[in-house]
Amino acid sequence: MKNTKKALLALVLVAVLIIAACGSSDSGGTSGGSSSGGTSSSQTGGSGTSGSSGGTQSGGGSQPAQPATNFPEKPIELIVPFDAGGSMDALGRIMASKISEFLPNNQTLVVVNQPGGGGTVGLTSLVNSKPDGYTLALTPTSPYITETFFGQVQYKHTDFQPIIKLFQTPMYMTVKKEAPWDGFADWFEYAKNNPGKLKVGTIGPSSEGGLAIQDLMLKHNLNINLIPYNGGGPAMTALLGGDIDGAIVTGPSGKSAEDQIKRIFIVAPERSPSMPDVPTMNEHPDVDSGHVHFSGILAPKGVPDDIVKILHDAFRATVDDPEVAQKITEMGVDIVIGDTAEYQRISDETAKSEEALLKQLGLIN
Amino acid sequence: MQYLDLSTLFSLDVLLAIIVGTFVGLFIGALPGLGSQIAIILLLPFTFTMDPLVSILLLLAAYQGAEYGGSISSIVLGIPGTPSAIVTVFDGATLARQGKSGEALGYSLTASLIGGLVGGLALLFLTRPMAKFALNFSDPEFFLIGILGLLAVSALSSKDFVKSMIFAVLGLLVGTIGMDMFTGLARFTFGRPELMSGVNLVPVLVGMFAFTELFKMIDEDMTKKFVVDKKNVRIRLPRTNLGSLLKFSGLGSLIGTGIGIFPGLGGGTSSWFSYVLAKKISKKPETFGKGNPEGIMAPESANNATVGGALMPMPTLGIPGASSIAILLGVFIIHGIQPGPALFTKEPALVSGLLWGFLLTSIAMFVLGLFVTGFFSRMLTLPLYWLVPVLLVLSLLGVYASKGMFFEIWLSFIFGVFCYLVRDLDFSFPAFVLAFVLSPIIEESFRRSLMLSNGSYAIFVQRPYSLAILAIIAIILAIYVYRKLRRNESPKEVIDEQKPA
Amino acid sequence: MSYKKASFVALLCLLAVGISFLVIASNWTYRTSLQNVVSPKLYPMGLCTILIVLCVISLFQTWRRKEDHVIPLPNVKRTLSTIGLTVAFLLAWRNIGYFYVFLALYIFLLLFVYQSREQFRKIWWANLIYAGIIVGFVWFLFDYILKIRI
Repeated sequence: MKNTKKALLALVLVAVLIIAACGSSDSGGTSGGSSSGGTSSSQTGGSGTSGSSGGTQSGGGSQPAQPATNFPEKPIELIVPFDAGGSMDALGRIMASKISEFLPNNQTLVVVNQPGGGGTVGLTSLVNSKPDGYTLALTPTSPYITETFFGQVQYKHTDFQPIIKLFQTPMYMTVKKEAPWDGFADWFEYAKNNPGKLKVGTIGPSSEGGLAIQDLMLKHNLNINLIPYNGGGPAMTALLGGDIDGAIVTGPSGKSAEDQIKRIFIVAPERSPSMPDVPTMNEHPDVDSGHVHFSGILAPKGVPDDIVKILHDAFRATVDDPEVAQKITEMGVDIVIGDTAEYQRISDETAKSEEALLKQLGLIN
Repeated sequence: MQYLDLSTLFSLDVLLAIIVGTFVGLFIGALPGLGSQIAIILLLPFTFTMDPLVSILLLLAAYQGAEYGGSISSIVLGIPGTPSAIVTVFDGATLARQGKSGEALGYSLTASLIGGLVGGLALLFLTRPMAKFALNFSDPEFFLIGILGLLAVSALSSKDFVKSMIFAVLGLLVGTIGMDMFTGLARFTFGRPELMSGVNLVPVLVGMFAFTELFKMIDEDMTKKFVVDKKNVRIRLPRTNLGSLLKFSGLGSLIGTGIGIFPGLGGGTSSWFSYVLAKKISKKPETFGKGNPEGIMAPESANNATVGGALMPMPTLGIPGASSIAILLGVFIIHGIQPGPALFTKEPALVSGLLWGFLLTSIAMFVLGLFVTGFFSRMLTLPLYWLVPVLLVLSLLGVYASKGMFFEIWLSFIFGVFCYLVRDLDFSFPAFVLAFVLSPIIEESFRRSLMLSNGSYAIFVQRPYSLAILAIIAIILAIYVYRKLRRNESPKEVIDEQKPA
Repeated sequence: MSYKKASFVALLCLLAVGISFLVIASNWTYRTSLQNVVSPKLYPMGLCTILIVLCVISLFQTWRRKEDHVIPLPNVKRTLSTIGLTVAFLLAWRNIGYFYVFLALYIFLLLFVYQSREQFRKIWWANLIYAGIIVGFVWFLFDYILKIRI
């Protein structure tokens, strides 16, 4: 009696395990990736099974040759290569909340955080995943282009298929309200006449804003002390505390004490639509230094063109949606959409100019 | 104070959010490896469709709940559930193994409540003035505070001073792994991109405390259970000598609040500092580590007060005092609310709801804690051969859940094996962890100070606050040397922190 | 193993780490375009040096120690089995997939290792149920609620 009961229980358990096993190989769609595919695509190289074992789909292969007219058939994974709660993450989630309306089959977009290495870990994972359109990443310029020149990441910007350029996060030279400069011209004059006196805070060692200023310094023989900080927050604290004379940080996303600061210029070639009164460096006749920093959606190279188009259209429509657009602009982020070809073009251009600048600064060979 | 309006607070949504948040936080915090950050991240997606006040309170409740939940695991299992609960293991788990887990939990919960309330009150009344004060602190001060922290580390050394220092230096060294923020140089990353942002605290924590403890359990007779007597497992609130214990709780709360304000220092640091200080002012310092409730009250109050402290710079400076708070910032932004000083004037109802709501979260944590703790304590009555596999699995997955990097599981496990092998050799694990946490603060602040001063070392003595901290350091060193000279064979303050039993 | 011997081994290992890290750090090259940057090699190399010195001191102290005691190592087999099973589990999960299957197997085998022969035979079915419960709990917590890709 007891033995049969035990045997029965054991059988039930084995059955449960088998069902769980079958369930695990296509992972119920909640995480948008299968069990095996999931882990392998979140690693870098290692045992070399990246993106190949099991694959990222439950049924049917999606080899690039197939006309994937029914794309997407399951949730799409959007890698955000930064921590949850950060601005990239927020952007991703805002879009994810609305994009189902614009995706065929009303499929969903699932945000997956893969922080690390300033964004490079997430992008490394993207580059190793299957180019079937089900794995994408939302990334700024830095890990996508800038970081590739230092020889410490395993990919080049050409390993990615740009889908759509979405945002530009303008960086402003922010100073205290009492500071004696009101625009780029006086600040520039001061910098020229007072070598070594100015202290300007930047984010990280080779941030986009920092590089632009270094370009300016190089071309005009300026001597400015650049001091890297761990983020906009610490830089702003240092500014308010008087440690530094200026900080190159993003615009008002609430992280600044608005009534204590003013923005004297934007470190970009064009003015930002969200702050049209702030002049750019390049308006000065002698200056041509502003850099553009953009964020967009990438996929690994090899995604078929029709899928690229479907994704591009969906994201464009999402960001055009007034509700989404409003939330994004309130974050201080500019929506400047560029289609697939434009994104590719600007990526190549930026890569070229940044590589040249880095060489000039002596940072790479 | 125009923000005394409580009407927004007592709506069903808010109260429900606080209860659910606390419960989730308690549960997640109690699991080794999963800490307050995971609890918040877990609840994050649910908040997108909720009203902002409700969202924030949900997450704050989870944060508070997790801070106490971590202590449950520390006391009951000897495995810290959160980084800030490491210190609770020293006296808490010891007390539990003496059969008094109910009491230990009682001390912990009461202390957590006090800490949470003090933190909340500080948040309510001191946020504005504190913010101005915090602006005066800059890199030179951070560096010196870091050094002060290292001194605290030396106070926590085990019997063998040199060996403890070895581990402290090791901790500092491991803290340098990753990309240097000033030059972009990849240090000790051995080509692995996962290490570019450094080693994270969770794998270190789980490896050093969870896996080690589990291996120790495997060593023993696995049919045994920790506690056979089910009676002592129910939580017991402290009744006797509550007065004197309150002193320690108060101390811990103050330290916790103060430390929470500084970005980069969190519950881990505050619980340590308060433990060290509690030991210094205690009448019976030699009983610390053997089950002295004072050693539970101080750090427990500290880690809950830190939540309040960490929240303080946010409304005024828009700067989070801890990474979990940074996530809260994100929630604000997603809901279209700009954190910053303008918040007080633009959204007074939200702010008042937030500040008072925070106090409520502490109370919720206490009440729910009373109910939930009993359930967890029952884990102690499971025989080891069933307890260990669960904990092993949860630890492994907990590390993975933290950042989603499989690599970290290996890191943590291998580190755990190493720590287990050296456990009885009088090296100091706490020294390692504290040094590890302080390392980036020390190095970055130092280098940045020199960049700010154009290379001049004078910056450390020119600033008033730097001088003050330098003075404190000098005094501490002087006292130490003086004591050593007076008693030739001075028995160093000994804590057997690696073996709570 | 005796305390002294074990300490020797540990300290020697740490000494090796210190020396090798020092060498690694000294070979780093970096470039910077910023001013007044303290070398990123300074701090790590300084720490390595201190580590080496401390290890030498401690080795000396250990050598001079009069008191020694034995550190018991009971159940080495169990510990090794646990390590082995864990490594196998992690490798299987990473390279083959089928997480839940291997998880159940892992738990079950651990129980096999931890219980005595007779005990195991008596309650093997309870062990299976237990494994099932854990697997279910893990699925519920990590997959369903936390939505973590496993």
